[in-house]
Amino acid sequence: MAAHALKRLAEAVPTLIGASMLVFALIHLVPGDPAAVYLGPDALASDVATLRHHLGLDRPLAAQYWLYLTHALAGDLGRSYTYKAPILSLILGALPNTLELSAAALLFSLALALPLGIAAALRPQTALDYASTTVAVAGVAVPVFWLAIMLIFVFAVRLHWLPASGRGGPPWTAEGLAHLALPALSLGLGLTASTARLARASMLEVLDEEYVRTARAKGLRPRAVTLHHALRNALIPIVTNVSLQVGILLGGAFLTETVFAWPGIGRLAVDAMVRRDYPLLQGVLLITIVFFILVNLLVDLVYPLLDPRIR
Amino acid sequence: MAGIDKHATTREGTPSQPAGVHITRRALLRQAGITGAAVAAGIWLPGGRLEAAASRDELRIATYQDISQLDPLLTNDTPSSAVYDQLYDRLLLPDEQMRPVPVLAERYTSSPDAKVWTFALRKDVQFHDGGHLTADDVVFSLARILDPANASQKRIQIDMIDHVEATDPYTVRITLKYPYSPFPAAIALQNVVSKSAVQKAGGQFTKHPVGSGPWQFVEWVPNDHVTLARNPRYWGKKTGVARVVFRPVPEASTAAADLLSGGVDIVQSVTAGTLAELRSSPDIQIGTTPGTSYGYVGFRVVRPPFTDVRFREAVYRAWNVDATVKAVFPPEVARRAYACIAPPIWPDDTGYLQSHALAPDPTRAKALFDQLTASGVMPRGYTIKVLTIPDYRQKMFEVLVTSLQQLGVQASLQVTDLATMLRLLTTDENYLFSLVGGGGAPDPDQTMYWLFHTGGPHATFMNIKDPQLDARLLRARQATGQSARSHLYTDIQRYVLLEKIYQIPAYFLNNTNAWTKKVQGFRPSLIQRWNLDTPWANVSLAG
Amino acid sequence: MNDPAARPRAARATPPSERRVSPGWDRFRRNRLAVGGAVFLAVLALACTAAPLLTRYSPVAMTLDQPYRPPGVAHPLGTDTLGRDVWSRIVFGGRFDLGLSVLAVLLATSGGVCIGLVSGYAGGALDDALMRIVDVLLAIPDLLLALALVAFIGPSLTSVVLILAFSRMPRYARLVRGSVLGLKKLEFVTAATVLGASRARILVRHLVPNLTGPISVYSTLDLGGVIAALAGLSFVGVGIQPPAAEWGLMLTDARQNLVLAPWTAVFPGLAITLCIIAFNFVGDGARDALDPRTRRRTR
Repeated sequence: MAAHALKRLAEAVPTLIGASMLVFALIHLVPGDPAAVYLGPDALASDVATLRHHLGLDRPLAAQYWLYLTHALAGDLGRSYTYKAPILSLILGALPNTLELSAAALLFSLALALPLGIAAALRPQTALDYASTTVAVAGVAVPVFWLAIMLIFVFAVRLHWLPASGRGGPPWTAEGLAHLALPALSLGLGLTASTARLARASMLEVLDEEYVRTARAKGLRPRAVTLHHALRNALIPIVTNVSLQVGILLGGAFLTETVFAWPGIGRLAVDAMVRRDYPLLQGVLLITIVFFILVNLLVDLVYPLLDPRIR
Repeated sequence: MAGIDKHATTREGTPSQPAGVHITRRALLRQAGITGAAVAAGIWLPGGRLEAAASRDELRIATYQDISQLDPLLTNDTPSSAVYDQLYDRLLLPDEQMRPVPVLAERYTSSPDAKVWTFALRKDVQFHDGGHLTADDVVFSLARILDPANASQKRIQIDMIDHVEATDPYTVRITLKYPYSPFPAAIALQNVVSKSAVQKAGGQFTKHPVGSGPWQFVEWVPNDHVTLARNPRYWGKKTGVARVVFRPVPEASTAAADLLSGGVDIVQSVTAGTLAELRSSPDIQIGTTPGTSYGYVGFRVVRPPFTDVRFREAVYRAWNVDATVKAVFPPEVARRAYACIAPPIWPDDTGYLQSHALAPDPTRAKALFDQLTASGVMPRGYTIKVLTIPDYRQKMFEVLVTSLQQLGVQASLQVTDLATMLRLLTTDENYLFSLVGGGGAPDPDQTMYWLFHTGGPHATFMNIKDPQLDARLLRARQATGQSARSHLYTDIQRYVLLEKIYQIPAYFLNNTNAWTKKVQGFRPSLIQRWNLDTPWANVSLAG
Repeated sequence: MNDPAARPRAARATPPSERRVSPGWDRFRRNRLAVGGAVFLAVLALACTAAPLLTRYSPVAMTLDQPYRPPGVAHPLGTDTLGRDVWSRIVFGGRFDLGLSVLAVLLATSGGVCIGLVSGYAGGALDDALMRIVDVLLAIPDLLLALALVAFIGPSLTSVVLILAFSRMPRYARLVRGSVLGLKKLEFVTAATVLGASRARILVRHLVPNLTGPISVYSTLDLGGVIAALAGLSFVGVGIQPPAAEWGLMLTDARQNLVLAPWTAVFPGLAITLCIIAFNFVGDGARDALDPRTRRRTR
């Protein structure tokens, strides 16, 4: 087990280095000069050149990467061109907000997907199954920004129940929760389909397993069988899938964050892209990739524990 | 969106079969249920729990982008200057008729040749940290902008300054390189910072901004908000509200929703789609002032056929600019431009330029294109490349491209971001593009010089190198007296727009803001600079 | 409901001979959602192919003095900002959305199958190297890849297809490799190996046919995702370039006008949404029909 963990960890290192190099190369490939964007269209060419020099952008790309890599290994991700602040502090300021939104969205999607998936599995190929599948699939099919704008229009503008945008504070306060509700809802709906589908599939499968049929034969009440025996086991792949969704959330929340003016890393990345703030963009992407790789690693390691047959 | 379900199938696609391992899944379920209920409760909270604006003594403003810096040396973007203009006073401030009004300067005089300018400062001005504002601070503030090593975006605005000196603690004398009669308009853009605070902050001044304005800095949480509070030491009229919060809301429809639902009091920018909704609300006021920002459609003239004036005429004629501007921009957002210089700024030559503007004439355009193709100036199957960023201009160019295609001329539109566009406009390639020039200062010089003088930023994008034009621009800049200069600029405009067709004048952006009717005393500014409190206005919230 | 006790996972794969008589089609036909989805997609594809017959407007023809006409007799789905006919833009735009998505998925599938087959069958260092590359590609956000690719080759139809295909290929590679690993252990493959069949022959004759089921199911499900991704590319400006009509582009344009002219946003939004739902239904139906694990439950 420990050997397996070490092997997987060792495999993650080249992935990370490869990803960092590719990210660096890709970012510098996208046309655009940070100095020109920073100074805007009304700047003189000579000022743009001066700023390029200040930012070290006139050095060869390989030298820039080496500098970046050595500093990054020492824990220094550089300073943002735009904000003139250390990258790490900017990311650490925004990451908790993204995690908060992601967690709320995940919980919401589970709260919706599990009942839908289970209901569908208990009555397969019936109207109930069709209806719940349709609801779940619609969640992923509706374009995110469209859904978000509609939610804002209904709940903030028409009904005045919830604020339209921004973060209102910690999620355990009424203000914080009210601000969190709409973004979590619109982000969470997109995750519902795959969880519900998985819940339906694994419930169907588990309900047919011998031990469940045995339990039924023993005369246990169907409801007890469903909840006690079947659901427990059906949850394992769902837990796995949910952990993988964390990756999607970190990378895919930028639209939701933009529409709802949510101060997370998705918006940090979008702004950094627009302004060609290379160090900030690299930092955000690197953190996202590290997170993604770690979650994958964790799932790999936990998987055999959940399902002994994999070992 | 593009990222959706990217990571979902990394585990070889299928879930494993479950087995009898028991973890605390029941607890997980319970947790999910509780949170679901909590989220649901959040949704079903009764209406009316959103704070009313009047009860909070706090003004909330939605901007379209987060600020980048609070040091005026370092940035010139609208969201940032909208915040720091409340923190730092200026010597003069343009009023609603664009006349420079004394603020930090009690009065100013110039030498007869308009080369030496003397400003007498108020003696009762304190910085937020308690220090007194003196001539030293003014000299320091201007000198750091003028230092080329700082690559300040502001330098181009006051590049005519030769040197600045403090002749006594409350008098500043500025000597120019050449006579420049609109100098007050240029100096009216520059903020005064505290010299001691800058030196003490050691490079971190942007995080600890100290000025003498009516507002002082409280906090900045990136992408979330910037908070300012009333400056109790302010020499002028105290602010009408205790605090002001600037919140970046990038999506315009969200910002409008925030305004309609009471989340913010003022929205900095409004768009076509949201205007319709805002207009219909009885609680919302929409205010428009004719702005001076000039949107042009430029030809990047690198090689034929762009270098041929007949080609530029053909493009102009192929396209109904009037109808396009009317269709694309709501009247609050922009108006058709026939000149480069926007009418609040002199000289106003609209009458002549409008009556002589090229009228849409597809037949003539087609004939010109055919003639250019026949004479070999325009290669057969030539594709006109058009660059745009995804805003109003994209719609504008969709009309242009479609119009050209209907004439059988190939044209392709590339939607890109500002960074890519600025990069492409330095390459060896002909492009049609649109940028916004001018609008920074209430004097024609800054608009015209930046647009057309060789080496000027916009002239570089259009690749204009016209020595005759350069000489005329310099003469107009250095001439004294408004009427003399007015004549010169009138000639220049007719030359670049009618004779050379270096660009197609498209639109002037208006300054339009929307606010709730609880906000009192607010007016959109004329130039792209914002002041909540001025010697003639004071924003407050009604009870 | 004849079913042996829990079988090992890999047993799901069946030798080619057995599948020919599989009643999968019957099961698919009985799934009403799947059939509905398939019919919807067929009708839509037909409408887009025959677009010029269904509308008398060009998708780009403007009438600048008639913007925001609500749906009516002259314009069944109304007009947009520039007075263009929304119905015409939907049916012509669908050519891009459906055509490019199918093309991209085909490309991604063939690329993914090649990489996955080689990786899964060869194993060892080659497998390790290929999977590390796949990991790297999976870890990098699609959007960055898209922007960089467009920077390379410029925005065009080709670049859109390449972006979509390239960003999804790693997932197919993973899927195929996983299936190959499972199949390799099966008796009929082992038997072929023992009998001295060449590697290429085993790959083509025994592995590929067994992969078609899971791959086609995944591709169908993925088509919905590709349509969403295409709309996403338009949202960030690296998709189809205006003034051409494409659903994502139309929706992006219209998002500011939800109140002023809801039809400009609702119809392209509906087109995208219904397409994704339909592809999901068809994919689900196909999986239920082909996958023995759920096959057992269907009545």
